[in-house]
Amino acid sequence: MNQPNPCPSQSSPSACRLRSLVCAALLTSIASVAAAADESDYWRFIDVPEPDGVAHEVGGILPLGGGRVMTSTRRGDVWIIENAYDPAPSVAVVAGSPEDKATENDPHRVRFIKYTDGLQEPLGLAVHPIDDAKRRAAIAAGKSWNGPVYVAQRGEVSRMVDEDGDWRADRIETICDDWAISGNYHEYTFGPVFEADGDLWLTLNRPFGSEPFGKKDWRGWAMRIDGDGVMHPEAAGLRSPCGVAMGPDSNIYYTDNQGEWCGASKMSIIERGDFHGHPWGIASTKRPESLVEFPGEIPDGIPMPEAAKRIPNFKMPVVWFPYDKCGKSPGEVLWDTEGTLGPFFKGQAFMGDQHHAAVYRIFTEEVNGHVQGAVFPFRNGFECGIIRVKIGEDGSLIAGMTNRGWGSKGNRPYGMQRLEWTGETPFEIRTMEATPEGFRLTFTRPADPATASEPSNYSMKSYTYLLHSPYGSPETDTAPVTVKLAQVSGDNLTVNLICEPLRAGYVHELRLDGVRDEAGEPLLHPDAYYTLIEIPKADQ
Amino acid sequence: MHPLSLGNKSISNRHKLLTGGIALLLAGCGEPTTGPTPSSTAASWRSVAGEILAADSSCTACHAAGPNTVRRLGVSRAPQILGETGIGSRLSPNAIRQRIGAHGGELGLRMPDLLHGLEAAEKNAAVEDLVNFLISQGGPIDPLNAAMEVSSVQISQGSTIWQSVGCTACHGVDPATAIGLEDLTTSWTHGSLASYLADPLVAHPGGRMPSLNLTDDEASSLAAYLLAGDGVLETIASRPGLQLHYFDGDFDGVGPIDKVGGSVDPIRIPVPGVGPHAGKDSFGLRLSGEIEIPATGVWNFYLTSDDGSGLKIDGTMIVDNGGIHGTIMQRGSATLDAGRHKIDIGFFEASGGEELSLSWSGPGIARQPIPADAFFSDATVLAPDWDLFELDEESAQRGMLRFAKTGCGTCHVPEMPKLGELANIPPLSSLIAGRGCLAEEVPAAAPEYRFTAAERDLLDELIENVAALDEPLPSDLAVAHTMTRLNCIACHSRPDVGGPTAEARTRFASNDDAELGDEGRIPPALDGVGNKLRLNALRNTLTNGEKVRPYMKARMPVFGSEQTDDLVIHLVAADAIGSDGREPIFDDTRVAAGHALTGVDGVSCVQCHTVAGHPSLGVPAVDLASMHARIRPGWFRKHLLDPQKSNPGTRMTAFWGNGGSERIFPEYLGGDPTKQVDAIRAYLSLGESMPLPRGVVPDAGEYALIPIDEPILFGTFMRDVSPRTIAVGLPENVHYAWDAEHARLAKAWRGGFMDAEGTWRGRAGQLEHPEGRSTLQMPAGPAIAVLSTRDETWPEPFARDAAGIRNGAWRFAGTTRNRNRRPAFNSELDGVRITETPIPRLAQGGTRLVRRFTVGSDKGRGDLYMRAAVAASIVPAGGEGRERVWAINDERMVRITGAESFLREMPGGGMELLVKVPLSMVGREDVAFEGAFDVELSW
Repeated sequence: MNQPNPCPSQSSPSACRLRSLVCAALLTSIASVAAAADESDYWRFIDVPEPDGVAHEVGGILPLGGGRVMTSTRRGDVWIIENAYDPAPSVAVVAGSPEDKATENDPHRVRFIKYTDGLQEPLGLAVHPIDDAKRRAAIAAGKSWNGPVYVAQRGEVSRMVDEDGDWRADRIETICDDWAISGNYHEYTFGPVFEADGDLWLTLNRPFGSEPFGKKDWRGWAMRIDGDGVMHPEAAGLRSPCGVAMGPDSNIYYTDNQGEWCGASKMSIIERGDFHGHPWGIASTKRPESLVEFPGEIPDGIPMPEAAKRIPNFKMPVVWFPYDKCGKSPGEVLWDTEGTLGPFFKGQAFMGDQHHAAVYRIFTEEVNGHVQGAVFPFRNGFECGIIRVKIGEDGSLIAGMTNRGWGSKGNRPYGMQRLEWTGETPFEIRTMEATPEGFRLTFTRPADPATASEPSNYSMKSYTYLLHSPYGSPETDTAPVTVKLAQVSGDNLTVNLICEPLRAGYVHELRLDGVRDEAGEPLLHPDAYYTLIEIPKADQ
Repeated sequence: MHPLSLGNKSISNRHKLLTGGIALLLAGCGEPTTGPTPSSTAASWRSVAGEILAADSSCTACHAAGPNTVRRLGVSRAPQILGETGIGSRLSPNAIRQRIGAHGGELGLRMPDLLHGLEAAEKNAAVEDLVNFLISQGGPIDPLNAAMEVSSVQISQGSTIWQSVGCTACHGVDPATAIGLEDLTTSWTHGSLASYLADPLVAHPGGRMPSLNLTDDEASSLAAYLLAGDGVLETIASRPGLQLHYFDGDFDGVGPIDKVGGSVDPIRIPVPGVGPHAGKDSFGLRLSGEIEIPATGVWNFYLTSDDGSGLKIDGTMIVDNGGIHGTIMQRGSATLDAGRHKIDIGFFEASGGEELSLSWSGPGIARQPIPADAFFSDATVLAPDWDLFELDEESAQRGMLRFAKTGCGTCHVPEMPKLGELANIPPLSSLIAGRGCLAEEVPAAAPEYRFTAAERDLLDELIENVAALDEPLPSDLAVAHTMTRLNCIACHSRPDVGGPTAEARTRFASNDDAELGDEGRIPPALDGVGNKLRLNALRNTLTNGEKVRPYMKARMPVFGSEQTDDLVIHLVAADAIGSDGREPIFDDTRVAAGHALTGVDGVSCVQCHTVAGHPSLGVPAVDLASMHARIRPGWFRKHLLDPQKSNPGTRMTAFWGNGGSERIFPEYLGGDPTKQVDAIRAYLSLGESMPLPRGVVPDAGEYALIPIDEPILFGTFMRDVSPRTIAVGLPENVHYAWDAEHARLAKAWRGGFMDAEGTWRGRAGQLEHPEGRSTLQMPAGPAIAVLSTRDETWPEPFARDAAGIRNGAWRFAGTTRNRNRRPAFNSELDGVRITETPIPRLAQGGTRLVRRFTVGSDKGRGDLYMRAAVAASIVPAGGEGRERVWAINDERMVRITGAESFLREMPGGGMELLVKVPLSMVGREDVAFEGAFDVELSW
């Protein structure tokens, strides 16, 4: 913007104060005249079309390099998608079909090869760490990698191999099927996710309704499968744990969907012996294989901080995703370790939400030994609910989408879209850290110090959730939080908020509607949700 | 007794009309063009007429005769009238009284009067005693409780059934004046008539009233229609509430929204809800009637249910809340005029809780449950028109004695020993013409049939020539005898026998969708049918009422095998099978040529013929997949080469012109017409498992799985298998289910593969089942087991507990796929690696499945066995040593190749066919000992 300076330089302090007020008013009016910043200015969608007749209900994504991406679908197929990163795809075809022949010379066509079929709800793909190094090397060299891929099915983890290199699996080995299934639709298996040592993790969804082949153990559990294919029941109390991922800190994270005994959707770390709150599978703790202590009778209707005190090994989350404000049904999480979605967000996590067809951003830090952090809206408007996200070889975010059985925003029943950073830097809260007296925010661009230092431009409240049997919990014990002071750093990139009161075990919801950047633009997303489980000690 | 016959205006009185079969023969008339030829066969035809009368009169029930004579005359078993399901459970007291008193063809009965020698008063008392006794057999019916409310939809569906399935062929067009349907409302209740119609052979094992293969719903509707016709019924229009129809069983989608009838009495319900059925599992409901819309405008409907439901208004689906789910609300809207609209709600409950409710919002009405005063429905009350009968026990006791003494049992309870005088009745061979039953004045001791003079002449002639009855009737006359007696000729024509009159031919309802002209409407002529159809096809049609022409509205009645078994033999004998009836050679080349010729690049049979259930490109002519099993090879060849000659007037195209000599498609078998026709037959011999010809668009719902280019693998929950089933569909159209949970092949089937809707629609999670028929179950438990001795019992099936712990050292190890994507299944047992590869093998009668086993072990061992079959009967059927064929229950075959196979008896009875798994040293790097063998299943 090239506006004439409305405030010629003056020296009197009172005039200066007056001037800033006038400036603020004028800038506000200018901002409202200019087109408001939009998510699409910073991140654009590119479709990955599917061929006619292919129900691309994506349940797993694995970038293979050389333009190829492997996906698994809820229909039991595994596809190799060629030319998946085309900036303007023309058409999608199935290999071997008449259309395949007809479009041979079209450089923009996307081609689907059926790697295999007949799997049962394959909801995740993973590569053993030893092979994954090769996969990464191949991608770096611009080549495709075609090695063994692990896939989670309802009743087993399997390893798929294409021995003759025609992109069609020749062998599917059962690696572990030590758990049993009842024939209930909701008994999904999520994962697998490898640890660096080659053990892998799964989460087992709980059933809803009839169990025609009999009730089974270990539902609502997280399982570790060791290198010999033996299952170890590590953690219990999960509800509908759709996303499992290993963080850059080598922790195993999972997301869970709000419902009974899960007051709010959340992301948590899974460790041996955890109890995550849902009583469905606790009878299995009495089996000799269990690595979780029986948590006792679960009290119905207590606030989460109290649950953490009263229930043995009760695990508090990394973040809660406040209902509707941060999606409604979280799927997979990824970490943008290279910063290709914007270097300012490098190292942060991104979660795809099924209901809102949107991606949320998560900043985490470790406080008093507990990993916690803040959730921020990131990108709305995908064409269907997202359950899987991965970073592709070009740095874009690949979203795998389906809304069958669980409705979502958007106008498609399934499919895949990529999200690409445009190269522009939005004005966003980059990080939100807890301090002994409040929170420290950093911005992606310098803030206007006048608006950023004005405490009244910040509003905050805190609330927690109930651990109870009804579906979902209202925000509970809500109280305002006063921002007493906002101290802006010299580079205008950081603001230190002194807040009162701080309550451990509560979401601290912050709105910054009045804060502006140097050009007077508001934040792209003026809201942040910090799950304060631990308050840093003053000497830290 | 015989079925009722129609038409024949030349015979005036009712009695003769009813015994029209004989009358027709006597008069030597009927259709002049199709009647018997008197000059050559008059005498024989006359004797046949006498035999029909003797059979209908059950002469041999009293007068003993040799088995040949009985068989030649035919058996007309009397109705089953005693016991809990006896006549008292079917008919009103008055109807029973009327039947005892009516003889000689009144009411269509050929029942003699056994009481004619009694004085009037004594006779009346005897009749009352018999009535009391018979009512005690399953009765009396309480007419109040039997009152029934039916919907107008049911009545109109019943009317359609009456007009189309074939009732009118014997009964006449108008049920109000129909023969044999007198006094329906004073004789039957809706319930008793419906169950009678659903399976008449239960009450009339003699097939006097054949079964039309009606479903329970159809029988209920037909009974409603027949009883509603009489005007004694109460019809109440627009009563408050909706009609509630209940259906037992598993439903999906929006439940039985279009289903008529219901297995439990329909009741009415004030507002949509589950009603009295709360708490049950596995049922469906249909709620129907009218809804009063208060104001014109856009109306929203909110349908809440657990599980699925749907709402139709004026026949249009407004809300689809289908599928298995918890309590979910779905909204739909419609622009509706003020006033009454037809409403239908479908609902089903699988298991667990259930809920159903309907709200609305519209002009001036905020969202709220629809009140009861908005719902209406018609109702017709079918009330039996008689009073409750007070059973007189003493009279019934007397009636029982009378029943036994009088000889009612000789016909009605033939297994009852004949006592007293009944034991001394002279045999058929020593009867004298004009005496006893055949006298003009029948003596008191003999039954009074009220035979006419002409009938007496026929029977006199019969007993004068009684010795001749010991010889079988010549086949052509036997065919005529049976076709006349069962009134087949009311629908089917056959030279020298008869056929439907020109008027009767107009009555067969046409199926406009089929566009097949008279061929799609009038049951086929039976000229030379014994030469056309295989014995089994004839038997299936006659005994089971098998329907190969789904477009034809008339149904083939079932008379019971007792009545029709001999007809099958006689038809074949009478029509003398042509000497060219050799089955053509079956090989891959011919099958391939036949496949190509059948498709759109060949003669294109698929233009008109359905293919294994998939629609043709045009009209729906008989399914090609059924041809080989039905039609004899000679007739098939002649018919394809010159259709007009074997079936004059047919719409079948003569592809090979000039009487079948023109050469077409020289690229196939040198263009030789006969070889090409034989190739088509070889291909069709694959039956349900034939690969689809080119051009056929499979009748595929959105979720149908149809393997065409390569095998389809489908991971699913499968009923009777496991929640970890890998169903495999092969393009060769033999399919199977591999149970990954228990590491075993579970079942195989031919025809349609699977529909994935239950697994791929909505939240899914249904248990799937094979689409095709002819499913073969594999023996229970593992295919291969370790036995320390040959006599050790086969181990328990592989199983796991709730925590997944196995009951033995076994595991499923995954699948491998070969170049053509055919899968093999790997498992481990006690350190042994087992690979089972199911391979299709084309064969006449349906593609077979070869289970190829490859077993690998690190050490040599002789304790591994495969169990190939478990059955009541297994017998050797050829081969020796390491290649043997075994016949299972005389129905199917198992061929073991590459291993020794042997039988053993099972402790609890039955046989097991075991294979000794061969292992020999191979010394490869990956395996030290290996063995392979095939188990080929044909079924």
